[in-house]
Amino acid sequence: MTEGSGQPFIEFQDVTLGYGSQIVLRNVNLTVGQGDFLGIVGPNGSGKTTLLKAVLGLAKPLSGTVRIRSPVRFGYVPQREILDEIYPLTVLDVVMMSRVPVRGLGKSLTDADRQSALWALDQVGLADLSDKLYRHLSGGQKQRTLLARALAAEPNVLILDEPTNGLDLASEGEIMALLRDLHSRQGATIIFVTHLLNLVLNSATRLALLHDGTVTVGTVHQIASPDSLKKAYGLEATVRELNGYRFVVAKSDRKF
Amino acid sequence: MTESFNTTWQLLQLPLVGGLICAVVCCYLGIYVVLRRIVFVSAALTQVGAAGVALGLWLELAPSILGFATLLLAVLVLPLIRQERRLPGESFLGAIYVAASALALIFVAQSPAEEAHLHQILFGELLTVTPVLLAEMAVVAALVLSFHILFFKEILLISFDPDFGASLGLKSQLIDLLFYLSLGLTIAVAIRVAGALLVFSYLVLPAVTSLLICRRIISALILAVVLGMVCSGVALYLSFYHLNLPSGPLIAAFCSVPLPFAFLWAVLREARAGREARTALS
Repeated sequence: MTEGSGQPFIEFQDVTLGYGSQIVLRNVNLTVGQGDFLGIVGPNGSGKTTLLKAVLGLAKPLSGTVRIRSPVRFGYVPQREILDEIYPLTVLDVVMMSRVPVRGLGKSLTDADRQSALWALDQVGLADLSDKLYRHLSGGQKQRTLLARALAAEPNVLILDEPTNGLDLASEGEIMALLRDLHSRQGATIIFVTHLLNLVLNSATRLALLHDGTVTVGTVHQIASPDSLKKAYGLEATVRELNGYRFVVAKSDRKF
Repeated sequence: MTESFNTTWQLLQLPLVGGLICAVVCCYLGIYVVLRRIVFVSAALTQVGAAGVALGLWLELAPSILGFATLLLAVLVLPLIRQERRLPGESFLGAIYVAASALALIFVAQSPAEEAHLHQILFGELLTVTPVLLAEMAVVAALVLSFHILFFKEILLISFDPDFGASLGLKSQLIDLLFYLSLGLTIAVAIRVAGALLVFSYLVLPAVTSLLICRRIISALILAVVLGMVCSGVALYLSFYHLNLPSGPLIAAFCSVPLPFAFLWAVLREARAGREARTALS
């Protein structure tokens, strides 16, 4: 396992995760430090969301220790499909939500909170849409709104759950470019969950590959290797490079 | 003529105040009932509350407290229903609804004043509401509305995205529990004043109408409360002075009148927006 750089925000020691008697992941050892860009990848149903919930404190481990450095603030970007669109909320309303726990229970939001929200919207290029209803946005705009909401919380760690699901190529590219920019220019610490390995190959500094109830953590080079991929996905795959971009090609794809 | 009006007005005062208090608190909560997609939950809770009140009337033991106790039990069971994966949660809610309705009728049948109590459970005692019951309702309304106004942002956040709130350290589960307790407490007392039918109407009809019309949650909350109050006032006035009809069902019927118009408004607004979008593209 490769340690994340700097003092870790998150540390998992021999953690077993699951629901009731059903074990989803066992003996998870993982650290996330300042400036990490950790891609959590794996086949569908491999436990990515369960691991994410444990990081966020939404799922308690069955055994082992999860240490979250205090004080640490997470900027969580959920899958946008889980949010109900019947709420009559503007883009600014949604982004301002992140200031509620930051400000404190029962406290009124101030102009500074509004400014933080507007700054975050500007970061994701949605400043002009702040008064538009959230439900009237396109998929990509919704995703950027949720990213702005996470940024407005002034987080130490950004955590994104399948943020490009269902987006077209242009929107997917915009989100990934934004994240790369936040990571490289602003030093953001990012945890990115996806079932699409190619999406994080050129952005992540480390990968956590989930398969058969285990988590293997390493550099992109270590994890995106034919051996690891065969173990996880059961396919012959190679990692190619074109114009400086790496991508995985599964052998079964070659005949098409 | 004037003397007759004054006498009727004196008789109308307490029912009007009772109806208005119930309308304010129930219609406010109704916005969350609709947005959180818990209309069926609120229907089941209304019947559970009715069963508790019926038990209290039969045993002659603090009906409001027994109503709240049974609702508290139901509220604590709700998370188990939400976690259930083998069958749809609404099937369990349906079971609770039917069982609670049956129990309410059975408890009422045991009561010596069966007919009067059955009428009270279904339609409340709006016309014969006592100052004590009114005071009880006013205290509950003040408590519930204070909680909702003070923690408005938190309640909205945990309704819209509880995991996001929890990820930032907000006690989402506790606030959710308090939300359901406020709903349960309101239903338990409001049932005694207005009856199960009217309480459920207040919880659903003005909220649906408002959410079809309004583009902001604050305006939806205000419109729902105003609609509930106006419908209550007009229906009570008509039932007292002009129509020989039961006030509870008349208020419920009045609450449903604006709904088709709001639906038509929403459809026309969307059609216009679609036309404008197409024009902008061409």
